[in-house]
Amino acid sequence: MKALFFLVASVTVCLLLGPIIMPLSISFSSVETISFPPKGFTLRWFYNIFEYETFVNGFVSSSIIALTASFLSIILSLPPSYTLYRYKGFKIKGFIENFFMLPMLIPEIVLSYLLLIFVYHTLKITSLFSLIIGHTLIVLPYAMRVIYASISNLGVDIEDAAVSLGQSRVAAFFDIILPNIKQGFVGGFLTCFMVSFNAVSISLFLSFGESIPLPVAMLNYLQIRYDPTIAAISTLLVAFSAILSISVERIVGLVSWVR
Amino acid sequence: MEVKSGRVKVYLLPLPSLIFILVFLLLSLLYVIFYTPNFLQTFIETIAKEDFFYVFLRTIRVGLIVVFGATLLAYPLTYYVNSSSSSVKTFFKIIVFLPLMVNPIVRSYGWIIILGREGLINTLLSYLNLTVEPLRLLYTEFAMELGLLELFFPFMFIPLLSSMENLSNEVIMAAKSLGASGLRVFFNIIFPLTLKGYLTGLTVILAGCASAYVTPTLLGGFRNRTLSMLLYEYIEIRFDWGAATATALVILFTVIAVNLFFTKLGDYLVKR
Amino acid sequence: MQKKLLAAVIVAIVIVGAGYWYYQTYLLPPPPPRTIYVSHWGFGWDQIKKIVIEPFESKYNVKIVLISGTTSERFTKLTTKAEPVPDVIFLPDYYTYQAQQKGLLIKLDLSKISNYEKVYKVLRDQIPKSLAEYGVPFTIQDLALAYRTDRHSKISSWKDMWRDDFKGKVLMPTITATSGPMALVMTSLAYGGSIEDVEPGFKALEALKKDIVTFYSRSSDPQTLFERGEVEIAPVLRYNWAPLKNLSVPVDIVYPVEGSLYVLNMISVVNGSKNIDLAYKLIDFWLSTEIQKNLALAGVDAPINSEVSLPSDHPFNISPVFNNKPLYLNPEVLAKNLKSWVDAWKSRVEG
Repeated sequence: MKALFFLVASVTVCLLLGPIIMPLSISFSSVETISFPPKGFTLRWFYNIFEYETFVNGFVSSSIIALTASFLSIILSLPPSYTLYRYKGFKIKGFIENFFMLPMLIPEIVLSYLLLIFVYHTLKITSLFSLIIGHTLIVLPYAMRVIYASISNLGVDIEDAAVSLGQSRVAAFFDIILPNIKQGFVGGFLTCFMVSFNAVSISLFLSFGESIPLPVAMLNYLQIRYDPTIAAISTLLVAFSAILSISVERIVGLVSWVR
Repeated sequence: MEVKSGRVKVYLLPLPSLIFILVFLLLSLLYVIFYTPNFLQTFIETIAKEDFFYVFLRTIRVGLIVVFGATLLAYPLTYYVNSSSSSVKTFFKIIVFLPLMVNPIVRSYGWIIILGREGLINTLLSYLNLTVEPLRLLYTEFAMELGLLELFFPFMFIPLLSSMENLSNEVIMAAKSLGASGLRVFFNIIFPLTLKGYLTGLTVILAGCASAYVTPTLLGGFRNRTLSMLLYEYIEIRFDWGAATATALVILFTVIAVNLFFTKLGDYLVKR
Repeated sequence: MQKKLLAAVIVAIVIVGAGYWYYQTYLLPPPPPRTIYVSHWGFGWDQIKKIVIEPFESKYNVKIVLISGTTSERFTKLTTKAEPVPDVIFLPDYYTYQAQQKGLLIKLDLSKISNYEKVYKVLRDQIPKSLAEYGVPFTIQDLALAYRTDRHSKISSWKDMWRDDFKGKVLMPTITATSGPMALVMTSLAYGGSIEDVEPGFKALEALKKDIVTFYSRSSDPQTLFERGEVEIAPVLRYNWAPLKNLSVPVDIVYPVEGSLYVLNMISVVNGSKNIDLAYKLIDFWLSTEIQKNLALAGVDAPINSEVSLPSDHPFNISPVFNNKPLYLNPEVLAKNLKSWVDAWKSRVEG
């Protein structure tokens, strides 16, 4: 029995980690094609990344979009979370909770198409803002989950105490509630950032010109060449994600959303 | 606690956020449908095409195969992890969580390195003299399923594991002490009690396979198109907005139908 | 006191006026060069820039801006009048035909293009009358077969793609690539059909289906797939030849005995352009003997100017096309049938 489990475990580990380790391994290879095993050692693929304007621009675009989308989604999550937390007996509470999960129900690629027609072509909103709208929509459920959970865990007593001591509700919100959900705030922000940064499908149809996000720039490059430059970018991205996660771990504790 | 009405009615607070979702999600959906002239006719024309039928069938088939693969791996693994020490548990939780931090392009690229004719598997096989010629592994449905399995496995593992954690060990012990064989224990006890988690995972996988674009494109190619690849094709290559809307709706309906069906199924089976 | 004030004001106005006039006449920077937008595939643009664009820009004091993309992307942008609207557009002839049918191109006065006479007469004469005044051919795209010479014995026929040693290693274009319909027609011709009757072509391709690895849509796919060893034979257009011969694996290009099917790539001027005079000059420049020769030597496009002579083994020497059995794919026929062919291909071949 133990042997079976061991087999399944190793297969799973290989399955999950294999595709991530492979690009790392060939990013230093001096062979131009994506063959395995890698031969030689060179850093030229890393230099190549910076030769291509689109990759650097892509990183900047992706970061701007992710930061804005995360920020917006958290802001948009705060009022509803507060309302739901205050009104335990609110009749349409369940409805609102589910409403915020709607973006998870719509496939990213479908949403990208909808926004292309409605937001980009009809409302004539620029590519960058269309992307921000799209990314905000897809991270909203994540933000909502974290913020709502954090506020709920506070318990109404704290706020009631402050109000009974004379503070207005608004002041109480900023003085009492916000500081106490700092962990959730930061954790939620970072989760949203990671999800947005890595989201590809939502950006597929909305990327034009200057504001092409990094994943789309990588896809476009793959149409032209398969050399290890993409592997080099992958290595950098994995390092980037690792650094972000470790920061999250330090501030909040990773375990909280490995539910 | 009494509701005091302040200067801002508290129940109006969620409004801006709700409007945001309403406008950009639902309104855009309605707009796109009405934007197409002759929508009903175009819709029927699109889904009546033979080409569409093959793609739809393939998407479902791929989804089911990936679910099968995930089930095969997830059940033994979650059972094993659940009955292990907490450090093993944490280890697996991290391993499963890690790939989610990496974007699907990188992961598909990794698969290309593994499955290509000059890749890991072929090099290994020829080194061991097991094959004369490199095998054709890429641009097949198999490659696509493998990629999707890797992509969605965490979404089966995590809910199933939490269901497993809720399983009381005593029930299993009791059943075993009463003489039930491993298989019976599984079907009569483990499976029903972890059903909720399993169905959650299954739903995510099926919905995901219908909507994933990057992995099927890079690993399957034009020969093995899925619904989302067809959507992309109508938009960027064939420039047929009507057909694109129809395809988008089919993907949407499929995802919603899968969600509804398995939620209802789960509720029904739990009652039994 | 008031008179002095008035005098001062008048003097001030005169000085300011004089200064302004002086500035306008002598100090203002020269007007920016005119900008013309060119819609092109973008393939080989680095070379094109050096050979054609930069000399043209400095000669006529213009700035040329490239709008790049695949044929279908740019064609759709043209039909939807997406900004920026190009002045000049490069398309394969059967797309030029469709654009002309939609009234998107201006009728050209070919007498204003001095180098038009130098285009091979046999090619010029084949262009349908309706198309000839709307697009000027600047290169020929003929279809040939590329294959791995180290793994296979010589090939000579289009039907060699169905040979046993190529099983599971064939690359085909997708129907929406320029070479897609050409591959379909070529297959029909090889298997007893014609340009109009492509049913034999479909049947043969259906038989080949399981051996086709994938379908390419982008210009650079053939190179990357051959390089990675994923495919070992493919129909390719002339613009792929030079890159294919420069890979780390040995690839050769062969003209099939059934004939050399070709389309002409054309330059057209877009309706509504405000730079028609410059457009004419650009077209004439592109067709000139020197430019055509340099583009060929740089491995960009085969020369359509009959005055250009290249060494006989040069990949862009097109005399073998004339010797082989040149088959012009009539753009009118192609444009008319394209939609039904796409639908049929998508279900029967790409399934």
